[in-house]
Amino acid sequence: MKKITKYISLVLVLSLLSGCIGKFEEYNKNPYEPSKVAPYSLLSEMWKIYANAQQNACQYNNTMWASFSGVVCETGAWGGRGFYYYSAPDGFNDGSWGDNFTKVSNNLYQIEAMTQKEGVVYALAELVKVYSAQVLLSLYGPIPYSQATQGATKIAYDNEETAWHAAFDDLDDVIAKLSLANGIDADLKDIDQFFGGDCAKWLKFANTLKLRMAIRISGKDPEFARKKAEEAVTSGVMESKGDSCWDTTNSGEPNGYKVVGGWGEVRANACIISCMNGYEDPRRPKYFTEQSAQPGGGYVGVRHGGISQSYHSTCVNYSNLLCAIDETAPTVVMYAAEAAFLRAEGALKGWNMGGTAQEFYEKGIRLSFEEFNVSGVEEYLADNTSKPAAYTDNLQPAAGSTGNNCPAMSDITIRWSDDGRELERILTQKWIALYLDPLNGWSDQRRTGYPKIFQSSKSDDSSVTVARGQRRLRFPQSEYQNNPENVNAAVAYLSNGKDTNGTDLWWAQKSNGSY
Amino acid sequence: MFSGFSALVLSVALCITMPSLALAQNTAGGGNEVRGTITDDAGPVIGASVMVKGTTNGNTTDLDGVFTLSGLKYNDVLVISMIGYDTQEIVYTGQNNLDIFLQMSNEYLDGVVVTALGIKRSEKALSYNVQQVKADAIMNVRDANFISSLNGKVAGVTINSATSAGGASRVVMRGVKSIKSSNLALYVIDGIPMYNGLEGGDGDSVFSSQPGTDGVADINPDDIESITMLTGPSAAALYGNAAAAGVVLITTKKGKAGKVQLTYSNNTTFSTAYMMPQTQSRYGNLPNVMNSWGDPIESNYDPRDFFRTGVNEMNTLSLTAGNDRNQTYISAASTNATNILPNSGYSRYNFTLRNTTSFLKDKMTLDIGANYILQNDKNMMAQGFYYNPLPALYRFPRSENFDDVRLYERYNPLYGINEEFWPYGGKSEGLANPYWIQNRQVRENSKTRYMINASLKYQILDWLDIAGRVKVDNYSNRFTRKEYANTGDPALGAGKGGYMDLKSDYKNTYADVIATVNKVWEDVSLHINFGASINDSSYENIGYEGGLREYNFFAVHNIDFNKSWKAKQSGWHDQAQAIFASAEIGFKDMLYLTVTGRNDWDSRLAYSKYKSFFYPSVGLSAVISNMFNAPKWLSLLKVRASYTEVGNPYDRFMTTITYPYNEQSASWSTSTTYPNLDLKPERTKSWEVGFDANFFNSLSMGLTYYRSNTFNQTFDATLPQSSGYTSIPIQSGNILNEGVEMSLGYDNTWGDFSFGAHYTLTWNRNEVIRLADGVINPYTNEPIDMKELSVCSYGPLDAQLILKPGGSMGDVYAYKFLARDKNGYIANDLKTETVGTADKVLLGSILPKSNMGLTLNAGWKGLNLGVTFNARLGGIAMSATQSLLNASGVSEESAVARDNGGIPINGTMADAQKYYETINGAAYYYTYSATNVRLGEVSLNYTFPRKWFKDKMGLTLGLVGKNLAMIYCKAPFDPELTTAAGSNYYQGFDAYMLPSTRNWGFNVKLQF
Repeated sequence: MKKITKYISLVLVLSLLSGCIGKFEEYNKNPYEPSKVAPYSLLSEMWKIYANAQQNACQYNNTMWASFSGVVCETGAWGGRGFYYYSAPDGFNDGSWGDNFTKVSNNLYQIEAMTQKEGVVYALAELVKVYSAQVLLSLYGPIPYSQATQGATKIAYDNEETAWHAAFDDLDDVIAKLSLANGIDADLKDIDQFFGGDCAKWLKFANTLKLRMAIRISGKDPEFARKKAEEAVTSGVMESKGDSCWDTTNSGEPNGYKVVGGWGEVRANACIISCMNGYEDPRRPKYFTEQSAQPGGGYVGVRHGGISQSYHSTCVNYSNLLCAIDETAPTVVMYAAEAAFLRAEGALKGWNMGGTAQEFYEKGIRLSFEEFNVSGVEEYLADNTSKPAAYTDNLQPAAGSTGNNCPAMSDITIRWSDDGRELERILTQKWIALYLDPLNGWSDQRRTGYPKIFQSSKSDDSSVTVARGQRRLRFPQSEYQNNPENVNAAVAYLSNGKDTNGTDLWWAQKSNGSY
Repeated sequence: MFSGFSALVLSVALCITMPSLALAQNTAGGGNEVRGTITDDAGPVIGASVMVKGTTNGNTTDLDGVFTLSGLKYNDVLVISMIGYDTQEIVYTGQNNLDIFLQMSNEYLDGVVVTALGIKRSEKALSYNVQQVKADAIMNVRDANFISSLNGKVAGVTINSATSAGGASRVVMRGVKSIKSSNLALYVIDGIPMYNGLEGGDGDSVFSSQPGTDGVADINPDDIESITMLTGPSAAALYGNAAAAGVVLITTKKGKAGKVQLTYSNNTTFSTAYMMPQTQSRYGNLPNVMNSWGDPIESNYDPRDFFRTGVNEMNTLSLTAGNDRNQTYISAASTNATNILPNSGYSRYNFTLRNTTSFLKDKMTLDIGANYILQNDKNMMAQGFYYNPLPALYRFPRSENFDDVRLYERYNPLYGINEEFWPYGGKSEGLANPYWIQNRQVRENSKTRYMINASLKYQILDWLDIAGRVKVDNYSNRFTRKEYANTGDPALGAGKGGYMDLKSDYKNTYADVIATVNKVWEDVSLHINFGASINDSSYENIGYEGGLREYNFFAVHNIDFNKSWKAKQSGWHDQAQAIFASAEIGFKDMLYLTVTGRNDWDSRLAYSKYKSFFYPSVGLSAVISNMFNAPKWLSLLKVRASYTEVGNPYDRFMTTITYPYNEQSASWSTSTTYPNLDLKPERTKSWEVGFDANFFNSLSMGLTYYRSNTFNQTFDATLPQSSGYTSIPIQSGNILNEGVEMSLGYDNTWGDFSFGAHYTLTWNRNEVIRLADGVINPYTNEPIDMKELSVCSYGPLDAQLILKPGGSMGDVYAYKFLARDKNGYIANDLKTETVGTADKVLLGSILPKSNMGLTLNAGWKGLNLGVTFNARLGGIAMSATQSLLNASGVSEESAVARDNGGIPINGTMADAQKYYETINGAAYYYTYSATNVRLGEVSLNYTFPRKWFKDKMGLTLGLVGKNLAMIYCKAPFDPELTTAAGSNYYQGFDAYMLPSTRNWGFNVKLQF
């Protein structure tokens, strides 16, 4: 009997050792996640940063710091910490950083490996990389860019000038590759929700981006900026409505503004609505819903950083963004009108933009009216009396609550005039035309002081004054935790050597220091 | 499906199971026969064993104390034994009738307990703490999920019950050990591990969907014979990795030889909302304002009126029949529970069949069982902001009339549909008509489950047997969620309704073969088990979610695939194979040495360097009272010590790189988790020492001290996002748990009167010894910087559970406090916002320091009274509900503040509204001691004398109460309820949690 026992145990042990666990590798592979995908699938993933439709990405990139643009307004209270008093908690402050890096870097490395850095798919991936860089450079300042390599976890930062120049170099490579491409790219025809694979349109997009970047650094690096701007115009920027870039499918997501608006955490900003009310701007019905708190309708926005940000439920009935009531509404990436306004500003600087500042100013407004199918542009362009209106918060139910009222942002008029206020006029109209493109508005404001955006009622951050507003976003906490040497080195690159919300970025410093 | 080894185990198990079915028809042969009656002082002795010495021929006495035994030869020796009595031997000399009187024993009753894999071992040989609970403990005062009835009855176990009837309970033994893996105990039914799948949402955030029930709640408590708790890993070492967190061993009923017995029982309990937040109705709201910070009003609004009385009715019919060779048990049971919320409930139907047969001269035993379970639930609710009527109910504007919302929908002729009626706003915050939520956002589960098991044991030799077992446990669950049109804010175009339909299928097959050697020499005994097992589980989940095209027509093909929708599919297949052995050497009934070892091959390790892992245990038990001529009062004194290591694999799919699917955008992307394929199984090293003592056979005491360290924990270390990665799985960590389990018991009888008292104490200390600071990242060779790890946040409160070396796995920190001036006084002009301090401040730990239970029983003739008290000492509880209700002016606290003219701060009165709005969300102001003492259970049963019914029937009537009174509790909610059984951290937190209930009812039991 002992033999039998021994035999049984021997069989058991032997059978185990003889590869009976061979199916384990099959079992331990997720059956519903592929281990290989096509490069254009990853490009689609990278494209999500153009419009940030996903609800959290939408908050991080389109409605939170974006409220500094005076177009949208975050209406969440979040326990008293938000951008409205310049005291956003780390999670909100870090959102755009994480979103950009995690959607771009790894997918880009995969596409690089798959395409050998050749072809349209690669060029468009590299274009996303540059687009993302100009966002981060305009938000945080120094970023890890030229030193980044696949698999490295602790990457050194570039100082701002180096990173901007490296981004221009990469963009020139994209433009060179797209210039060689012809017509519709077959791989992208069905998956490119922006231009249907039309390489000519992507080339205009890239050149317009280059012109935007040149204008952005023009105050600090004027000669380089002029060279790059003139190159972009020569190669061809956006000219007509059809050149505008919209994320027509919201990358497969529901329109993020709809979701965030559904939470009651975004509404229209009192600043732009008051300005457009003063101008009796006919684009308002295409931009906003009318308020529903009181009979009579009309457009009333929410003041960002008003006296009470405690309960967003009180803001629900204010004017909303029109796109926030339709989950299928497309989200804008870049307007053709932007190219015209950029050229207007370039022309004002004396750059060769192929026309005069006035021509491009008026073209920008015309393109904007056309973009939203609004009539009456000629009357609008001829209006030299209307001025932005003051803000009266007549919806707050609490009696006697007038603390949110705000005087008119400016007295700038619409009709072109060589009255010495051309820059403000261009940038105010650019701001109105670039509806829901918040970074442009906030960057122009930091760079030039225009458009003049309503101030918050107070600052909870000693580095920020309400007069100048927040100047950048702090470096993320995760960098301090996990990449401390490099982020600390990057702090030294900042204009005042301090990682604060009130620190001026390199491109936003003017020689006289006023803005 | 199975390869090599698996096929072998299965076929061995099946081979020895199958042929036996045919043999089961064999019955005992002829020979001489004797009929006897066994009695004691009180009358017939039921269930006494009568065996022919040296054979397996035997029988037990029936309800009348009668037995028959055939096949006797002259000079056979009949051995009559019964626990608690002196054993008698009678020589068979041809008697036809025997009248036997049994004498009560003075000896200590050495119990036999069921241990790992269903192996029965003598209690005195065990080197670890084992606690057995009789079925009474869960039967007297019943719960839809029987696990919650065990609270306070076993030392070393912390049980948190669900808020809804039938919801998943949280059972943690000897403290939380794993940072990321489950810390829940393993359930084992008749020796075979059961997958305890949690249905529904995780419930671990205020935004999560509502949790459902779990696998163990499906068990019909009437089918349970006894429950053994293996609190420590030593006891569980043979179960392997799944048992690292302890084991609840459930032994189910078998048929009994003797007279056919039919039992019917009914338990009906009624539940009412008990610990609700205190609300006010004397201050109203301003027009068009949700919050009630307005003028004094006359209102009789009471949110309590919304709740109804829940009824839980359980009916069980069971039948047992059999002879000495073949026993059958059949039961059918129904459980129908309505929750205290309208249109919410749980129902379950259980059908059980079990047959035990012995044949081949009783050398073979075949045990076959089958269970069929139908389970449905609707609108189960725990907490949070979604699918929860309580936020709107509690915050209802006090100047308005709640009667207006009872008619929760109004017809809209424009669309021809009914639309929600809720004109008070707050929809963006998730507030909605509470009746609409219950009736028009309907969530339902329907589950069909069957379990079939067979085991065959063959006694090859006197000292050797081999047993094979197979169990199949499959279930299929369908979850649907129907949201009617215009749920949410109509201004936002909430659409034509929404639908989610998810089907999940779980399949498990378990098989093992175990050989047992049992040898006894003069002074030495040897008990060896060795065997192999295979456990194969798979899970598939598929479904759709989306908005609808036609109004309120709930079908997948009516989902609007032009708008946002989600296709859901997930699944896995795990297989674990193991060989194991245990050896117990006994010396003179006084010293026992036990050694076990197990090696696991787990599919979750595939693609890593570690194909399998081994873990051993060693233990020693010394029965001191047998070592010398112990005085009569010392019935038993035993000391024991053991050391164990248990391994636990990391999650499946961690060792392969794939492109994760994003169901919202329907796309794949590159993972942002840095690949780390060099992973090792988690390991817990534990030792325990203890003693068991019994005095005068009536006073018992057990004390155990244990200490465990859990290493190689797998968790995510964050990476700088500038690398494109967000995290990397790393393995490090060391979590210490040490504690004491103590049980004290006293049982005695004086004539017709009996009395018993049982006390349990659980004390546990948890400490994070190490996280991953300084661990070298294997890919970058850079040391990981991890001073702390934030693992949980608590809804709108600023609290965070942060693990830090030196702290515990329950430490909660907060950073928001009222602004103070430079002298440290709260600033008189309350700033409208709180101001954070630079460093987070520790609020306390959500873990209890100790748990206690005291059960008292007194009996007089047929009357029996039982009372259970439960206490939990230490730890904190947090309430977001209180914070939100204060800030919206609907809490009693806010009304009292207004009555008093404000909140006194530095001698002046601060405006109550401003104060509560300011501290809203600051956890510091909403943290309470979680210490509580309650009257857990009361039962009063009367068993009518059988002779009243001419011995034709037994009748027991009872009155029961559960959770009748909270004797001490400073928290504004019941801190012992869990809303997320599976979460290691989201505990002791109230965010619109369903109130605890007070339950009372009756039992009827009829026996024929």
